[in-house]
Amino acid sequence: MSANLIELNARRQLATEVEEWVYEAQTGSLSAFENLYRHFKGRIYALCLRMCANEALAEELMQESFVQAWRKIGTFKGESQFGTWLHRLSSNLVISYFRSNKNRELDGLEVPELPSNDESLQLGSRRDLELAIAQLPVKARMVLVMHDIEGMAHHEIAEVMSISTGTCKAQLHRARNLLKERLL
Amino acid sequence: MSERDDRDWSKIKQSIERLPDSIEPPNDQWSAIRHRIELDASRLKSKSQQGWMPYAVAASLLLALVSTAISWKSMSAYQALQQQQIALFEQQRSLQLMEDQHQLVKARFLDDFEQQTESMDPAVVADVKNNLVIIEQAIADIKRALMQDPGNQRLNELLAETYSQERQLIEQIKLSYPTI
Repeated sequence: MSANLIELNARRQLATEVEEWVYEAQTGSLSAFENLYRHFKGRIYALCLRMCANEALAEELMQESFVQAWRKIGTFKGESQFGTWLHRLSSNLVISYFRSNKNRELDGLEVPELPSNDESLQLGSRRDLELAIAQLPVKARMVLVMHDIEGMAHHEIAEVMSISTGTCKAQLHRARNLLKERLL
Repeated sequence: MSERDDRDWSKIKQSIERLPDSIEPPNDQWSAIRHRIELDASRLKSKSQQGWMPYAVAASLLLALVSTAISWKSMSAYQALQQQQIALFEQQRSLQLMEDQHQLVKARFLDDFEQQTESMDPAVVADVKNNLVIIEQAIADIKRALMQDPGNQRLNELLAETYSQERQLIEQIKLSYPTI
């Protein structure tokens, strides 16, 4: 059996396991939900961290995402993969957080001032790329994260952010240009 | 976007694609998540335990209201039936009284009439008898119909009218033949 086939089988097995955990969690099993948390926490944290560019806030929003997921897991009908559903729920939560009056408005934040040694940002460095993304304006950063990292389509992003597809494309263009200015 | 822009973006895109899908959070959030879920569950439980009382009270109240409504309806129906029976009884008594008076008047007339028939035109006698038979037949028909439908107001009125017609006939004969 080739390495690809082994990997494919492992993925299938994992997908089945996730489906079982989801089913058990839907019937009230907290231990099954813990398995889901363990499986998805890294991806959800990465999404939250990249979207809100703040570790403490990302942790808080990740926690909230899983609490909300537990509350709403009964509504998950399996029409999409659970991971996709969870990512959608988390991105909605981050966007809602930034929309709420106690926090910064989506349009309100401009590109933060870079530290004096920012010229050392290197495209090849993962840390620098993450930093450059984090320094993007909020709305542009969210669109870039959801489109270029999470692979969401413009119409999907437009829907969750309650903006037009045109605005979404414009924000992505802006984000990419800012990244190019910073990194190249 | 120019070619250079495309090339520049392509470099960044490759770097983005190499970014890890997953980043380990600095702290394990499970205990906090579990705590919040359990708190939710206990709140929900307490809410549902507190919640049954108003529903029970509402259900009892509803049951009482429904019972009262049913009783009221039954009572009303019973009372209506009772009133209907009383009215029917009164009507029957009134008809019986009318019948008794009629029989008395008719019997007296027939006695007098039979005594006078020999001195009367046989055609007139036959005509009077014929009319009395017709009226008697009509009264018998109405009484039969009333036995099937005692509460029928129209039949009762018709019976009273027929008795009245018979009385009028007797009165006319008496006027024509003062000796009767």
